[in-house]
Amino acid sequence: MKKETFEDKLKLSREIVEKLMDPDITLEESVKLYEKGLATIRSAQKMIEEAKSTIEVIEKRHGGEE
Amino acid sequence: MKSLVVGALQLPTLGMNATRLEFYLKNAKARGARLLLFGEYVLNHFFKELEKMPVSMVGEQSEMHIRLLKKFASDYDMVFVAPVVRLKSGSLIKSIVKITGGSVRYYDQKLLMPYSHWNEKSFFSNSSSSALEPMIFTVDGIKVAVMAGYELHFDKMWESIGSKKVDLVLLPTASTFSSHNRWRDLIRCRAFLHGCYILRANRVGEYYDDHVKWRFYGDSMLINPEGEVEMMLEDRESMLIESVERSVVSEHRRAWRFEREIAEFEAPGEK
Repeated sequence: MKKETFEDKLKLSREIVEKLMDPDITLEESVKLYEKGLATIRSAQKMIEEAKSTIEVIEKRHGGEE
Repeated sequence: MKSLVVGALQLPTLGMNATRLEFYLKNAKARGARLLLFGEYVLNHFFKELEKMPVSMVGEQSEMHIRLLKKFASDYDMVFVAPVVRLKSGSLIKSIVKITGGSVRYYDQKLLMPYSHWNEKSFFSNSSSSALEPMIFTVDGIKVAVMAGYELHFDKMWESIGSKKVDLVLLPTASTFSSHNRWRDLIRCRAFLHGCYILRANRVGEYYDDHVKWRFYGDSMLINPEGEVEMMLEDRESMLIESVERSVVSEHRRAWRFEREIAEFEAPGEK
């Protein structure tokens, strides 16, 4: 199975926001979407944090070589 | 003499989408409105629905609407007064927000409904430490006070209306079931006794609770200091725009002298 990329998560969260804006959405649907959106954003944030840590490691390694 | 064009928006819950507000704002602006009042549970879902929502979702819904209203207040040069549920340190607070292009001010409701079928007192985390007084401010020389609908029942909340010479009281409500006539009588009575206009914005819409239908019936209205209905809406989504005149308030207070009689009784000999 293909792993979801950061871009996939961003796209999904935008779609969720759009659906939440639908004036005909029921409260139950909107709560489900909100929770799904929150989980998607959190996992995207985690990806950013991981990428940041990787960059820091690389920078440290390069700094050490200078 | 001073006057102010005011409006009451009679709407159901806006949910996450408030774009249809612009339709009303354009109309209100064209009719000269400077101040718009929203009903209770319009920016947020109804109280019973909030119980089923994550608190962070309620908080984000409120923040989103406040951001949007700030932009509209600046674009349309209007003052908005709207009940809003705030998320503060993880707890929900039932408040009323006053928004202008440059400022946001909150009034946290002091007295909340404690009844078994509608227990806001136990659900919200409002503090009970502040004085029992409405939020008071001035718009274009007209002194305006705002209190939550339930707070109308308490005499203490009305003491500053006369002493601070308030011209207009804003009353956002979420009245339901068969309370039409009682609310009309109460509002008319308060307006006459305290010599002020009262603008009430009541929400519309329905809520189903264990097969019981809660129908919010509108009936938004402007009552003058004589206790007469200046304008009243029916039970559908709509907007009321009317003018309030300082001279009408002054004339009522001069003629009926309620405040002066009490002052003279309490401090005889002083003028």
